[in-house]
Amino acid sequence: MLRGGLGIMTQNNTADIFKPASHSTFAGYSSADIMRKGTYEYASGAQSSYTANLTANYFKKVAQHAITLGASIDLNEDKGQEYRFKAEGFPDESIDFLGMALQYVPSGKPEGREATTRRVGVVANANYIYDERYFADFAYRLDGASQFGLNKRFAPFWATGVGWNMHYESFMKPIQHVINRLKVRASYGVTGNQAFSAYQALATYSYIVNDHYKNWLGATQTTLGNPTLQWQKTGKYNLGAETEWLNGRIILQADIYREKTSNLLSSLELPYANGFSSYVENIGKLDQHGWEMMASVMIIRNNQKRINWSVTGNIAYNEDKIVQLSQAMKAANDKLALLTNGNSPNRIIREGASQNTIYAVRSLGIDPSTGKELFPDKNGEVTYQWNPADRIAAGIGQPKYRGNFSTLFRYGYLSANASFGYRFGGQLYNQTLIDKVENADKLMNVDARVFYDRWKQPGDKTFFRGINEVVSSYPSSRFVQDERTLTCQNINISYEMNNRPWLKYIGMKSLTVTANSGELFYVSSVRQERGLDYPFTRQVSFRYLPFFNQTST
Amino acid sequence: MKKIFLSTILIGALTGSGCNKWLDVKPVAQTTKDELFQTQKGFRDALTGAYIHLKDNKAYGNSLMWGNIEYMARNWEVASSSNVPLMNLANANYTDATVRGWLDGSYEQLYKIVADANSILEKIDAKQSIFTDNNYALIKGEALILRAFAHFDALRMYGPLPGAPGTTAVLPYVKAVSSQIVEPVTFQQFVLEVIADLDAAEALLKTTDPLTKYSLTELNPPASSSLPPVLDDDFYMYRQIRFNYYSALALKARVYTWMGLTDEGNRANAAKYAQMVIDAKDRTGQPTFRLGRESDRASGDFTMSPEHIAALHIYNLNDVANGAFGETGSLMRYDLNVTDGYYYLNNLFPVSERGSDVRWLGMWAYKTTANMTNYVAYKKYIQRPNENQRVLQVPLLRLSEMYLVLTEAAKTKEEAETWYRAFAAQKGVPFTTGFSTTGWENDRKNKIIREYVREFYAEGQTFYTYKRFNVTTLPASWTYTYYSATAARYLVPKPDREINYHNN
Repeated sequence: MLRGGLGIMTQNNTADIFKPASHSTFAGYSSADIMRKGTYEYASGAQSSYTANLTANYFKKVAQHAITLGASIDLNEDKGQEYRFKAEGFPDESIDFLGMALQYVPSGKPEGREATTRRVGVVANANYIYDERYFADFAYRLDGASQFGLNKRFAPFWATGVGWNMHYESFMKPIQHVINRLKVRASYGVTGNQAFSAYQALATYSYIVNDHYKNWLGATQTTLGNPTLQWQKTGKYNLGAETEWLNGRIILQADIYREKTSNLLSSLELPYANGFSSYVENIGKLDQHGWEMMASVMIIRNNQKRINWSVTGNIAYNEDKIVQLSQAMKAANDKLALLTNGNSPNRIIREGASQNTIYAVRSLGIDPSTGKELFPDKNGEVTYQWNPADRIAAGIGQPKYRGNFSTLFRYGYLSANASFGYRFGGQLYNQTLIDKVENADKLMNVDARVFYDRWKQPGDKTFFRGINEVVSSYPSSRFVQDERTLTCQNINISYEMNNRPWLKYIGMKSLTVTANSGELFYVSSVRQERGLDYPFTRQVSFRYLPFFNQTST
Repeated sequence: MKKIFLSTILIGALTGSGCNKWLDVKPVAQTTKDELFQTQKGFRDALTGAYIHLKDNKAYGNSLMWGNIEYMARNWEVASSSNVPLMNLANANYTDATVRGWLDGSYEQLYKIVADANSILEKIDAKQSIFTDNNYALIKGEALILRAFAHFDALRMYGPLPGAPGTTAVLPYVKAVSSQIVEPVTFQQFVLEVIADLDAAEALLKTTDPLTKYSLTELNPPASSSLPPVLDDDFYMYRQIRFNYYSALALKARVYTWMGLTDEGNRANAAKYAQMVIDAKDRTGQPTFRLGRESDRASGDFTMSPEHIAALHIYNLNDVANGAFGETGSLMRYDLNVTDGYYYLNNLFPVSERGSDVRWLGMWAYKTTANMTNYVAYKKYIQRPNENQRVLQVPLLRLSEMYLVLTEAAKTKEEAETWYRAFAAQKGVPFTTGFSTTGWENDRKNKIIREYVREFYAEGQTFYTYKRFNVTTLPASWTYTYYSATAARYLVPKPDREINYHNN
């Protein structure tokens, strides 16, 4: 069987950001600039993608043998672009129409961005099933993507897997009313990741449009490029089992896996002398292993009375380790390890450690007699001196365990659903403590802990340094804290009404009323500011969903 | 079976060369390096890009011209004591993080210019056939001088004292654009690389540079001129604001001087190249450059454009200069309005000698704003009121330096006096009795140091002059803050990042 497909997607979006003249941004404008108050930023973007594929399939079943062979090619292009400009001068609050702006912002210019990526893949696969009991799969694909270096665009990938439906075996028959389903499976596959920026491998120039030299326009090098940039590949071994008990009342699923990623892509820093500060390179190999378990239990299931109560939960464990780094990356990290990078820990990666390791100097706490922080140096001597070379792996900024659990309860037409997320077993570098307490500018409004919790006089046993320390605090293990977090992600209650006389009276078929909460609470062992990027919001939304009868006259 | 056959053909067709081309996505808002260097215009645009980088604030548009580097020479007062980083910079306290940020920024910018030149140089030879006329020689020659110029200033700033260069590796001389880390080389190797690039540029430009034929006036027609330009192609014009043939010679004179004139070879070369610039003639036999003089100053050409061997065009120099040097500008000297009007400046420009000194007359003036009246503003870059008569360029190499090089490189007292007298006559410095009879060499040295300061004030040369002579104290109190220095002031740290990469 031969089949072709073509998918086209286009999406247009616009953004309108209007700040009226009374907005605090313009508070500092002088009276001469009164006509400049009020801004309107307008953006218009378009994304489009198309996918074309051609598939050939062959299926044959002889007695208990079923075989499927397939081959396909697919092409894909993703394109996105955006333009953006800003106008100003809306002195009157009542006018918020872009066309009424008095002028463009001074020395403002239109901005925009664009990216196009293309991918092509050729796939061949084979699948064999024997008697619904044994499965075997094999797939091979050759992929090319535009984001990689000219010489390394194409890469081959393959996957294979076997499975066994044990519940069809005769020896399971006697207990099939208890164990309805039991499947074990094993697989290995290599996949490539192409979620990288569109032009990373190209050496590019761009024209300097806001400057000129005499009568001439100039072009400047924007990226160094890397013609030998390769696909990042991940090989994954997976072993899993799925089972259903008591007519689907209990569902259990378990997987263990090991992932080996090679040609890790990362931006690598360069000395200034190279003329570029960084470039993208394949830097090494990463190993990950872990397991996942999922359980779903129907505690009450009564379909006649429409009473249901189920609880579902999962837990996942993951550990990662850099197993190999390129010489360039090692050299870069050796240098990085000697740098002080302000008050946040440098992103150093080392062979044999997790890629999320937090490197900080070990702290012995605050000296009660001086209010200064004590550190053991490399030779074990105690010093007040923070030395970047003394940094050790102080924690892993990624939880070892994470998961969700949720419960659904339904009684008649009322249903309630609550879901929670949790994570533990990792550490966090508490940036808030260092920025807002230790390095806070005391001339400004500060966190109360600056006043109450910092060392003030000899004998004070405190977590924070002396209040009069003027040199900045640098990353020490004092700020690396164990993280245990529980969040309530969502609570949803809904009530559905249908076939009620009063609904009919107003021509409605049914009405559903839903109340939905966003993140309701967040408890964590690490207390830190979430900042403006992802502020904590407590929101509840209500929704009415009416359905109307179609009336015919 | 037929279908499998069909799809096999399709797969084959797609994975062929056509497919690779389809995957060759070019950005729309940018151009790729390979594409840019397909045309002569692309090479020209890349070269212009390098000049735009040269006039960046972190390079010769500020920091290395009249900004940071002049604070390091104590030519400006830090008026606001709350500006701690600037205080630290002037006090040569290079451990201040902000100061390091500024110094690192200039280093980064210089090597960015090097990379600009390198991209041109690594592509130009393979594409020689696409160039028309003399474009190949001009672009390649200019790129070579750019590379030499930026490297040499990195050496002057971040390198060792030229009097004690040692034999350890100092800085990398970068000749390719790649991700490979370039190992630093010794001072001696570094200067040889600079000279080698300048030699190559000299050979390329000697017969091709329009400046070897036409006069500055012909190549810099005023905007109001109704005459047709001497050259049709605008790109060949305005050679003064590009690294021309004579800039290669003048830069060599500067490099050999930096290498040390006590060495006979350096001395002879410095003198030879300085002499070649002075002797430059256009097709009518007129000298290409002439020393600036009173008539230039009187007409408002304060940077003395007839003596610019190489200059940097800054289209908005009028605004830039008013902002930095004007009434509200921050670049200024502290002084006391005593009998002769000044106290500190009187030491730099003695009352008895400055009557007709073109670097003095009308160039300095107290500010008039309340509380600022003890600060003296400098006029060098302030432009003429008439927009069409402005000289929108800052000098990188000037003819007066060639006279000072020859003075310094002269072997006899008489020869030195001849060169210095020629210089002094145009600049309005009285020099009737010659250098002092006892220890004339020392007198010459002191006069040379003073001339470099007076002549190249706000041109970023004072610091290098002090560094070259390892000046520890100035002859007299030229400045409000007493200038005392140790070698540590002149050993400006390279960015930490470079030290770490190179482990030295």
